[in-house]
Amino acid sequence: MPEPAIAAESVYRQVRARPADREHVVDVVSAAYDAHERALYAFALGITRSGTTAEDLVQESFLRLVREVQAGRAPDNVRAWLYRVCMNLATSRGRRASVATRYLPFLVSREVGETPEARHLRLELGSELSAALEALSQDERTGLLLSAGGFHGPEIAQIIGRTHGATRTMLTRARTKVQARLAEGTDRRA
Amino acid sequence: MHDHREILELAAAELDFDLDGDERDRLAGALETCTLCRRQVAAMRATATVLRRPLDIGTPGRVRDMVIGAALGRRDRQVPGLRTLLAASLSILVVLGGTVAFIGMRGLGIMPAASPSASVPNQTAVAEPSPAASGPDATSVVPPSPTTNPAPGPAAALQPGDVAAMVTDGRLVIRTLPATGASSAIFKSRLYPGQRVVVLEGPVDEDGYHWYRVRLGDIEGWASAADRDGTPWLAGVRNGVVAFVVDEDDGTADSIHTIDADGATGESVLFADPTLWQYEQLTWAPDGRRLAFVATPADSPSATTEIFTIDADGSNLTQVTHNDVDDDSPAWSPDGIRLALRMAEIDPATPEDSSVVVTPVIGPAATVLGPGANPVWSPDGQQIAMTVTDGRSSYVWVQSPDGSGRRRVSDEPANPAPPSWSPDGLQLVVSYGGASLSPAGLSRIDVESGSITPLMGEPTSSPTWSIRGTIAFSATGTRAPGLFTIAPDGTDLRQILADRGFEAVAAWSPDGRSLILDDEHTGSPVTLLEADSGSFVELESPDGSATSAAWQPLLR
Repeated sequence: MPEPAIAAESVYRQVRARPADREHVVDVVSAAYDAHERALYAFALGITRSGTTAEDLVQESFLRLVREVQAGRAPDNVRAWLYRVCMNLATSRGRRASVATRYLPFLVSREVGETPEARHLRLELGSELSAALEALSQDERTGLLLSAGGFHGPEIAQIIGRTHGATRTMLTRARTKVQARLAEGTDRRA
Repeated sequence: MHDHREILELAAAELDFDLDGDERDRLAGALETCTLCRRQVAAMRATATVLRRPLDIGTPGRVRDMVIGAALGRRDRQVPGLRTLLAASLSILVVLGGTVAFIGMRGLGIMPAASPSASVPNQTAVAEPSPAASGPDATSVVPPSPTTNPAPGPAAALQPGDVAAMVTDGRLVIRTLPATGASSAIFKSRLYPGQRVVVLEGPVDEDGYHWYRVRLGDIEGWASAADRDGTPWLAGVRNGVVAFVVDEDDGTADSIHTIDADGATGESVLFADPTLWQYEQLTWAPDGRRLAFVATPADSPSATTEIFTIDADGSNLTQVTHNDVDDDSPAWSPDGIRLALRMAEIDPATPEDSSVVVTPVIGPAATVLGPGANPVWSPDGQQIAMTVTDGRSSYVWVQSPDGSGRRRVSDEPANPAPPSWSPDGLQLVVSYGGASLSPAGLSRIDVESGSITPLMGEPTSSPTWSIRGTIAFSATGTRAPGLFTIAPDGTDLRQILADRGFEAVAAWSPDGRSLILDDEHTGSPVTLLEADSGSFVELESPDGSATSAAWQPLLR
């Protein structure tokens, strides 16, 4: 985590221990937001490739955190909790999206062409790496993005709800697929 | 013998999981003995590093407002009094120290530009004793210069395609929308004094500001060109005159000339002083108001080079360094306040050893950064890249101008020549010489992580990164020598000038559209080359051969 995020996470831990009232809820959520919003947005953007969808996922994840804190259930490991919620929201949204695709001609898209956020992601990662990630399954991409977010293998297994062995196999396969795709690109240029 | 694929899978697993002892040994053994595995694993680790790099962009402030509004128990999107409540709730963060100072600013509708603050890179270098030589003289009085800060007049309209320079104190933010409201997210990267951006569109008038969409590296967003009173924050950058040295045969009657940007008209003598010999390494201040150069005082008993500056009209000669060793490679800080330079070691037995020094243009305090050569400021002025030799190989290092944060960027030996920064200061482009583990070529280095992305496998030299994003370099191999441009992702390789029998050292013009080619060591003719069309003109002075050219930036 970047230094400011570590500091904000430390504030989260301090304010989480205080008695629950409205001010307390605001403080806990503010600290969690400042600590994890950017990284969670990058994660959501990586999974969905859509700026507005990623924005919605981040907003919905934090709104669920608000409800948890209001109910006196502020998570211990708020970072892992937010990623898990965001991932689950993305998955259920993906299912809805596949149904909605059939009716796509009748719907008005909120995004025309490449959004600034998706363009930013593509440029920061490079077009070939971005394409290599896109070619992965959503589970594989999610695993790699959790790793990029700083989670260690066993934590990733816990977040995505798989066994240690299955997670290791999936991540290994995802990484070798990405490298193979990048190597193809290098060969094409040579 | 081992299975390369199995080793790659072990390396992949190691990125996320702890390997057992047997797996660790197999991986280490293969990496020790197998070049193919070593390269594949290095590439995989570099990919993981790139993926770990945090994005520069976050959600707009309205997301935060929505979340905090819900935490406050409000259901409406507009939350009255939210800013006050947020400021109070987050005040605890401020006392944790400077690293969290920005927390809570997003969504609070902060102004496009911060007020002048302690964060401004300023001439506050602390004098440090030089280990070997006296360095830039800490005791001599340097006459004050009238023009050390970019200070253009009233804001002139910018046009799409222009290069613009940040011309105020403090830092200028870039937003996702042309507005100051909560819908407009703020990029983490800020513009520092003197830093350049490319204008993409505008102006859009909103909230009392004139907004332009600008590009800084990979970031595209909106910045205001002036405050509400019209005081400029961004100024257009134009190509001014080209200054160059006209070299008399015996080297004792050099002069500095200027010629119009077309390379053909308006040549005139800018500066000639019989007490100085052998002018070289001309370099304009970022605001184009002063010119630094290297020369040898005729009365110097040691015949060593010193660094001087003159005003753009040739007046106000100022000697910046005063010592008995060679000083050269002057590099202006983007804000035009300081110079970085190379100072040779006093011991003639080790002439290749040298130090990098940062000195204010006005004032006596100089900071010796440590061993190194070829200093290059990052575009935001927060770091200096240099090459440092360990006796056998040369490596790229970076360091803050105040002397802190010195570190080696990459373990790959690089050519002992100036690296070139990307416009956003996140990467460097470097030529490699071809040591055993680093084949000759051109590579991009991520400054933070040190991960390397190869761009070319041919011997290259003098890469230079344009503000518009393109990298120009000379290919020096036998397959296709000449001057090339390439996109930072390794695509769009184009030869823009065929081989002319010498190595072309190139620098981009201030507007990023042309190149100036010059190599003092080979005596090649100074050439102005338009990158898109490939048309060029060679400078020919009736008074002698033209060398050491530099293109003046003009701010308006």
